[in-house]
Parts: sequence; C-alpha cells; structure tokens
Amino acid sequence: MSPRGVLFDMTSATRAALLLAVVAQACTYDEHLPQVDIKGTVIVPRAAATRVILDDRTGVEAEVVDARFIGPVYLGAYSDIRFDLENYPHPATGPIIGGELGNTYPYGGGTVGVFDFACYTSTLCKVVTGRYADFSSMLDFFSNTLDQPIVDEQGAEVQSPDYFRTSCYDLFEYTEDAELLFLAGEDGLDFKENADGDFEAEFTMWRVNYHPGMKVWGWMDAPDGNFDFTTCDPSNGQQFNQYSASFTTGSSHIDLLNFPSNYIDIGDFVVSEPFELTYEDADAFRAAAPTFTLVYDFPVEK
Amino acid sequence: MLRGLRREKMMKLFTMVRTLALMGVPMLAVSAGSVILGSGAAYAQTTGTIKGEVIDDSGLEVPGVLITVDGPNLIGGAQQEYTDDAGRFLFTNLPPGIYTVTAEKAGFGKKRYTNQQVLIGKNTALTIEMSVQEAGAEMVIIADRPAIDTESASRTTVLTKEFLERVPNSRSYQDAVGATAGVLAGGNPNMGGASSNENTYMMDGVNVTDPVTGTFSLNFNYDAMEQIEVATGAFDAEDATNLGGVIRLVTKTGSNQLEFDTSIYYETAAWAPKMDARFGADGADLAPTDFDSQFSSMSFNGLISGPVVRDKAFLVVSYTMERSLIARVGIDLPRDYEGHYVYAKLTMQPTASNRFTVLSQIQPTTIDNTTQDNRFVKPEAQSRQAQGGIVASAQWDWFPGTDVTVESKLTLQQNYIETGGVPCTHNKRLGYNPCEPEELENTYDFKTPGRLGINNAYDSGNYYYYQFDDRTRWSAVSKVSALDQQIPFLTGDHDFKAGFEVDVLRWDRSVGYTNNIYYADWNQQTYDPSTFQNYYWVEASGESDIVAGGEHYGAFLQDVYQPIDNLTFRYGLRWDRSIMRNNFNEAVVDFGVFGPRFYVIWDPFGDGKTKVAGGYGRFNGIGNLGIAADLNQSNGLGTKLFLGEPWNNYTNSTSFNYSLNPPDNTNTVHDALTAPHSDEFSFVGERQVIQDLVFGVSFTSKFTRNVYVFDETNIIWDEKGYGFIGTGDGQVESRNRLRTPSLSRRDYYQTDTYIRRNFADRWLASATYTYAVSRGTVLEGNSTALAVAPQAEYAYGNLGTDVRHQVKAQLAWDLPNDPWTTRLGASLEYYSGAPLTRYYFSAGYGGSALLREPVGTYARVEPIYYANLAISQAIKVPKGQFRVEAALLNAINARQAATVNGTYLYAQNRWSILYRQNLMTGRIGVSYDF
Repeated sequence: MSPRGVLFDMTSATRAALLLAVVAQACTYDEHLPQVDIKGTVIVPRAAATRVILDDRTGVEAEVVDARFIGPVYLGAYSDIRFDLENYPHPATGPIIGGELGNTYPYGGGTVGVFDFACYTSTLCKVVTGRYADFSSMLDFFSNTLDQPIVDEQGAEVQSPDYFRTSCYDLFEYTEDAELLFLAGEDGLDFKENADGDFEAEFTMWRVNYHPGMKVWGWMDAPDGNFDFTTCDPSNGQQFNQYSASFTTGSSHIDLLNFPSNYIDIGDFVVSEPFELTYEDADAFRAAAPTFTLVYDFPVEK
Repeated sequence: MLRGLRREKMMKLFTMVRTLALMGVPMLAVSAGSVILGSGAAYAQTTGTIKGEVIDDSGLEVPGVLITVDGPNLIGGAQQEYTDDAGRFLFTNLPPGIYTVTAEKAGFGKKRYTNQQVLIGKNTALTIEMSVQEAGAEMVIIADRPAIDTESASRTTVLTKEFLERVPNSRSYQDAVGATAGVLAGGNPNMGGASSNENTYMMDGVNVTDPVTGTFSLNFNYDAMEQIEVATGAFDAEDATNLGGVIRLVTKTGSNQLEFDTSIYYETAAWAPKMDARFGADGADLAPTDFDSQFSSMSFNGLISGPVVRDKAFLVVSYTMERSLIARVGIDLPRDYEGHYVYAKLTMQPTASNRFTVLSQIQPTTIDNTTQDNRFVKPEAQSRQAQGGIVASAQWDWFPGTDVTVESKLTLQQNYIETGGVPCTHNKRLGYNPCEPEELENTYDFKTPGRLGINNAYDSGNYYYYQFDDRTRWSAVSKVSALDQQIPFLTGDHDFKAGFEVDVLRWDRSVGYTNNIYYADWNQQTYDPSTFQNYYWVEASGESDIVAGGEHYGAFLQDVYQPIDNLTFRYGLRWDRSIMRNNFNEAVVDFGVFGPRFYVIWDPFGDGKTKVAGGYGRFNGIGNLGIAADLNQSNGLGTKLFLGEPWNNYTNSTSFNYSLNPPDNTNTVHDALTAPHSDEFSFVGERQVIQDLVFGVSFTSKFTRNVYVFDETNIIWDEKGYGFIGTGDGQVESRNRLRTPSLSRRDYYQTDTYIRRNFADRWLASATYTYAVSRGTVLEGNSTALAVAPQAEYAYGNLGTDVRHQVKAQLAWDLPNDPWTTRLGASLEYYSGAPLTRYYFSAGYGGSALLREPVGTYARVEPIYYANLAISQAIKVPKGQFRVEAALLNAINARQAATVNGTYLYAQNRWSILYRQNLMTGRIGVSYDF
C-alpha cells in the first residue's frame, strides 16, 4: 500500500467508479421498510385447467385443457398453516367466538389475475385478467368452449370483436385496448404451460409485513359448472349509473385472505406445502432477494 | 358499512375544508406581466445596492471621487463615500426606488446620474465617466437603467411599482405574480414545477407563509407595494427552505414628502354575457345551462406616508377594505367576503450606523356562506368563517463599517381561522349557539323530490361543522454581510454573507360537529323520491383537537466572488434542521440537511449587456406543521347511524347503531424519513439587443425526490390494485403511514424564451414563452398517491403542472396628453391544458382504480386564455391628481380551468367543471393622490 493511502493507489478508473458509487449512494434512499415485495412463481396443476365439455351437436364429451379455465389465484402470508382446521391446509386463525370464524390476520398477499368487467353484464364475475389475449379469444372461449355466448345489454349475442371493442370504448370512454385490463395485451398471458404439462405464472405480493417464519400459502378459485366464481362479489367494484340503468362491475370479496374457508370449495386447488421465509428481517430478505415456487397441488374435495 | 359512511363523510369534510382554504383569496388568478429580471435576493432581503466605478476619458480608474447617492426613499439622508484606489464605490441597504448618483472631484466635471432604479436584492451597476476637460461644469445625465444583472444566475422577476400601476390584473399580489414565466397563476401558484404549498411568502423580509399549509396567509393593500419579487429558481444559499418559489413583497417606505393616496374600485360580472358553466374535460359542453357563476366586489384603499422626523423617521400607514360576493352555479347564497387590511411601518435611522424598522399588519376578515361546492346545502347549514391575524416585526440594521451590515430581526406571525355553521355552532368566539338535534331535524326538508346528490342519491350534505384554528410562528433572524471584500494574495472581490435563523411554530386547532350533519340514501343508491325509502342520516358530534409544534434552525455561508470584472462565482452552503411534532409530542419530522449552491455568471463582452450563467443548487423541503398534524387527525368524534322509515331493506332490528371512531391513531409515520429535496440545474443566456430591450433564453431541469406521501399498511390489494382481498388487522380501514420513498418524485423541465423592455420613455413591454414538461408520481405532498402498492409503479406520468405551452405578454403605454396623462395597459396569458388525473372512482369497497399505462392520450382541460385591458385618465387638480380607471378583465370571456375543481359525473363518465373561476368582469375605479 502506498503511504499516501488506499485512494491514491487506485487507478483513475477505479477512483471514478468509486466516486460514482458514492454519488449514486447519496442519490438513493433506503427506507428500511418493514414490508417486502415477495416475488416468485405459482404452478397450478394441469387438472385445474382441464374440463370435460359436452359437445351438444355430437353428444360426445371431450376433455379440454385450456388456461382460460384457471380462475384467480390467491396468495397470502400467514404466521402458520395448519392441517387440522379444515380438510385442506388452512392458515392459523384467531379464536372462534360465538360461532364466528376466527380471523387469520394475514401479513400480506396478492393474486395472479383479478376479476374485471368485460363491458357486458353477462360477463359479470366471469372474466379474470391475464387469461385472454384479445376480444376474439374471449368471444371464442365463451361461445365455443363454454357455450355461454356473451350477450349485450339488449340480449343479442356479441359476435364481432369490433362491436365488442366499440361497446367497451363507449362504456369506459377508453381510447386504446391497453386500457382494458381483461385483455392481456403486450403483457402477455399470465399462465404458460410448462414441461410437465402444468401451468406457471409469475406473481408479486406487494408490501408484505415481514415476519421471520411466516409462510406463504394460497389457493386457486376454480369456476363451477356455470363458470361462476365463489370469490367474486357482483355487488362490489365500480358502479355505473347510466340514466335509468345501474350496475356494479364486480370485484373480489374483501376478506378472502381473512376468512379463506368461506370461499374455498370443491374443485379449488390449495397449496399443501407453504413456503416459509426464515430471513432474520426485511432487510435480510431484500438482500437475498429470493424467489420461490408455490405449487397449488391440493384439490379440495368434500 | 358504518365505517364506509364515516369515510365518505370525512372525504366530504376534507373537501369542504380544502375549499375553505382555497377560498382565502377574494378572486383567483387573472395575471399580468413581468418587468425586470433581477438577481438572487437575500432570504430576508428588502433592499438593494448601487455599485460602480469611475473612469476618466482614457479609461483609467479615478480614485478619490466623492460619490453621493440620494433618493426620496432613502432614510437617513444622502449617503456619500469616496471611490477607492480602483475607482470603485458601493452603496448598500438602499430601499427600492429611484435614486440620483452624483460624482465630483476637484479638477473634473461634476456628473449627476438620475433615474437609477434600485430593485429588491439587485445590484444596480453604474460606470461614471469623468473628464478633466469638463472641469467646472455640471452635467445631468438621465442614465439608462441596466437591463441585465451580470452578477446573478437566479431566475427572478421584479414587478416594479410602474408595472403594478399600469398592467391590469385583479389588484392582488397573488394575481400579479402569475406574470412570471413558468408560474401557473392561482391563489397559491405552482412555481417551478413545485406544488402550490411549497412556496415561501415574504413581506418586508418577514416570512408570512402559513406554517401549517405552506400557502399564503396574507392579503394586502395592493397600492402599498413598492415592488414584488418573484424568484422561481437558482437561489443563493441564503435563500429557499422549500421546493417551490419565493414571493417577496416590499412595501413603500415613505419619504420626506407627505404623500396621500386613496382609491375606490367596483368590479362586477353582472353585465357580462353568461356562458355555460359546465363543460367536459375535452372542452365539449355537457349540457346547456344558461347560468353562470356570479361575482362582484368593491374595495376602498387608503395610504398615507411621510416623515415623522425629517431624514430620520418615515411612517407608512395603509388600509384596505375589500368586500366581494361570489356565487357558484346553483348556489343561492353568495360567498360574502369582507376583509380589512391595516398595515403600518415605521422606519427610523437615528444615526448613520443604525436603522430600525418596526411593522405590523392586521387583517380581520369574515366570510359568510363559505360552502359553495354543494348546491344542496340549505341556507341554514351555510358556514361562516372568521379569519385574520397579525404580523409584527422589529428589525435592527447595524452598519459597523464600510459595506458591513449586521441585520437582526424578531417577528411574530399569527393567523386564525374560525368556522362555524349558521346558526348552530359552538360558541368560542363567534357568538353562535349550538343547535339541538330536534331543532335541526325539524329544519330539514329531506323529502323534497329532485334534490339529488352523489349517484343520484339523496345527499343533503348539510354540515354543522366548526373550527377554531390558531397558527403561530416566532422567528429570530440574524445575518452579517461584508461586501466588496478583498483577501490578501487573492485577486478579486468577495461578498461574504453568513446568517442563522430560528423559527418556533405552533398550531392549535379544534374541529368538531354539532349534530345531525349528514343525510343520504342507503349506499347512496338511486331512490324513488315519491316514496323516499331507504334513507339514513348520521349524527356526529364531538371534537378533535390538534396541538402541533415545531422548530426550524437554519444557517448559511455564502460568497460572491469576482476574480475579474466580468466573471462571477456564487457559491455557498445552507444547513437546515427541522423538527415538527405531532399531538403526542412525537417528532414526526426530525432531520438536518445541507443545501449546496454553485453558480457561474459570465459577461463575455464585459459591457454589462450580455450574460451567460449556469449552475446547480439543492433545495430541501423543511416541512410544515400540516405534515406532523396529519398524524393525529384521529379523534374522539362520534357517529350515530339512524335508519329512516320505512326501512325495508335492512334486517337489523335495532333502530340505530352507534360507534366511536377508534381512539387510537390510525396514522403512523415511518421511522426513516428524509427531507424532500430538489436538485436543480439551470442555465440562462441574455443579451441586451437594443437600449432597454433584452432577449433571453433559460433552461431549468429540476429533479425532486422523497416528497412526503402517505401509503397504506393494512389493506391487502389484488394484483392490479383494483380491489382488496383482505386486511392485516381484520378492520376494513386504511392505516396511513407517512413516508418519503424514492418513488415519490417528480421531474420538471422548463425552457423560457423571452423579450422584455423595462419601463422607460413612457412604455414597457414583455413577452415570454415557456415550454414545460412535468412528470412524476406525486405533485402534492402529503397525498396518498402511492398508497395502492400494485399501482404505484403505474403512477409515474404527467403531473398537473405539465402545462406544456405558456405564453405571457404585457404592454403599458403612457400617452402624453398635456397637462394630463392617459395610461393604457394590457396583458395576455395563454396556458395549454393541464392533464387530468387518470383515476376513476370505484363504488363500494375496492378503492379507486388507476388505469394502467399506456393509457392513450392524456385527457387535458381545454386551453386557458386571459386578456385584460385597462385605461386610466389622470386629472390634475391644484393639489395632487385624480385618476379614473376602467378595466376589462378576462376580456374575451374565456372559461378557466387551470385549477380544476371537477366532479366526476357518473351519468356520463366525464369530468366537468361545475363553476368558472374567472368571469368576464368590468372594473371602474377612482383614485386621488398627492
């Protein structure tokens, strides 16, 4: 080492880099938030995207695998996951008082896909974001796969993507397809088939209150035979009052993570092996920046 | 549901309080033009300097020349000094005004330079040429006023008395400052891309900024102002403890002449053609209304000034009474504003080395019918507001040596606001009696069909609300200036300054309700007026008290170094420590921060006619008590829900529910806060192309980070932030937390191109074109703009200050019409439309939804045009003169929406402007002065 000190032993480039690093450090600000953003991958089994469809014309039942069958996927971070509360893994709850369910008090959560209003009340609580590439994809799925054609407010079947678009633009006063959340657009579809034939998607749980030992768990709300979802509240969401007509656009129930058992029913898929976060604190978690995979492998049966 | 009701109710309350705050100005924002670009003034600067040199006819410096400076505003009599060995002279602490500079030396001619104008904080440069060949002669020279300050890099506009008298505006300083490039006019303007609550307001060197809101707190006699300085950036180290601009008002000082000025003005929009008051964001009319807002006002002004002791003590006393009536569309009772502004300033200079200034302003004001944003408010539910306050200051300027000044000042600023329903208000000062619940219930006709509120639901919105609010700032400031100093072995001159200041702040507020304030349909759903079923009302009562306090300590070191005559370095360092405490004496804001400044100014030709300048400065926001007190709004207010009869759709067998708000505080502060700060890079180039006419361009980029913002820690959002799927504590209630995240930021770029002609030869003219780009995530501090975590990343976009094209022009011309004078004045402003927010509102739980990017073309309000015209005629009488003025404001009757007060119309999914902020008005006035 030079007697002049470390700084003078550096090359000019090193000194410049160090200076830039110091400046950059001065320009950033670490809040040391006790909340963290948790990122990872969810895998739902192929069975969750599979339906047996009866072809009315031929009378033949056929097994159809389609990612559009995948309902909203919920994730929550909890103090613990127990296996004795329900017939499926379920977060630990607070005391049950007067017959009322105990609250799970989640530390945070997130979803892959949300309910969105697809411009016609006939789609209320049936459309999940990230599942449809475009208007045609949606019309095709509802008409040909589900055999539940989308109809407009006059009861006429919507067959034209252009008519679909026009209705949406008129309703929301939008100017671009990108403003319609239920179309994946440039973001692409959420779920992609993996090598095992299951379906994968990325997720982010925003600003989760970090506690060492907390466990990430979740479930997928599978649609029933009528393609309805138990986690959607049709009276929630944006409200439209158009002259004499009034309707809400539907949205998730607001206590899904607090009382999951109210909404988990037959056909749903639950995470059986929650992911435990053992980092000492939020800063340690951020430094490690882990990502992990959560598998929704537990089918809920009566 | 009860929580939901409370939330809605509090939103309305917030809207009302905000509206009251916004309505502190009699009328908002028709603006005027700029005159002179000056230099960076001291934070408490109220004076200027004259600096120059004497040369002989061969260009050599002449030492030993006796220089005399005199002017009507100069207290203490004429000042004299001899030029130094380099032939230079410097006179400091000169009150703004017009001066005469005389140079004389045996063997040379005597030169007298008249018409030298001293501006706030500006150095007036003068080069005096003397010749031995003129020995014995005396020459009077009406010198050109320097149009460019070649020692300053700051972006400063000084509105002189000549400008204020001639260019038409609404006769308020708030309006006049809109003349400056890049200032978005309004009662509290946006300056330099900052929010409207990030400016500093100074009156005669006293900080009169509202210590709670960061907005203006003072109304004033327009005729009492000598100059207004509007500084928007590139401040020196002694300047700016905020992220916006600085507005300095300097009042008249008086002189050895007894002067008297009185005037009366009347302004009305009654005769103006009515326009559709509602229009959509895109400018399209929603529906013809054939009605408009209403406005009329009257003001009486008086000012007397003169010597108490000749050359030793000057006194100025001014008074304004202002009354205005403003009614928004559909409001029966106009807002009735009556203010009395009394100001007195005594300046004393008993000895050559001591000057004392004491001043005081009081402004008792009452405002009746303050609720102008809800046309369903019954007259008996209208509120009255009393407001006012006092500013008192004592300043001692000690001049211990040549060009050395020690300035010390103590000030008190106290404002109060008292608001109460009429006639039902708790009586603390207003003298009203509280209402009884039964009394109120019998008052309301809540079954009348056709009174539709939100979502076409019945919503009376009748607030019985009271507020008692006292805000106080004690300040002690001291500053030492040693100008024109030399350092051994180092060439050039230095202007050293150092100072410190201490501010002690306090906010006492009580807010509460009397009873039965809120009627609505269940869920605010459409109802059948013929049956009027499913209604409820909420009774709320109780009181919320806030006692917030804080301290601010500031210090700075600064040097202006001129190594050679045409090159100037301005550099310094500012330190601020800010502590703001909440109700529980917890230090919400607690930090010490540094703000370095460095600017270079070059006069490439050395002729004082060209300037190229640039530099960097960091400005820190020290916060205000509103930030701290936002954390203790939670209170003991109680709400009681009553269900209407018949009650069909509600299964609860009880007739009412009652709950108190949680006694615990739902707002918290994150442990690690940092000071919001702006890093500003600026460049300016100016050239005096012909006499008195300057052409210039400037560019500013300003990067603001860590703006105060509230986020939310309880609600668990879905992937898109469209709705929530759970809550952390099981309560469907937001838990707000104050943060200063890096994401909370804004980037601002402003380019100005301008020409200006100073007032000379009976006319002035100015024109500026500004191109501004403002993008970021948060414009207004203390907002919840980033509360919904999944949408925070989408929040970056065009901010409300993204008014891309701004054109401002002013013209004034004095027509000689002996023995009288006719004055013509005109101003024009154009603002391209500001972007509207991208949020739409979601009913029920689930919050508001933010459209994801890209969202297509931003909706913008329609462009704004203002044109003001004025003509006045002087009529001389044996003693003094009368002047009769006629003005037409907003002469083209354009609709204004710069400050959008929009309401989302569910029926048509469009924004609308429900009232016009600026009507076409005519004003006539008569003044007399001698």
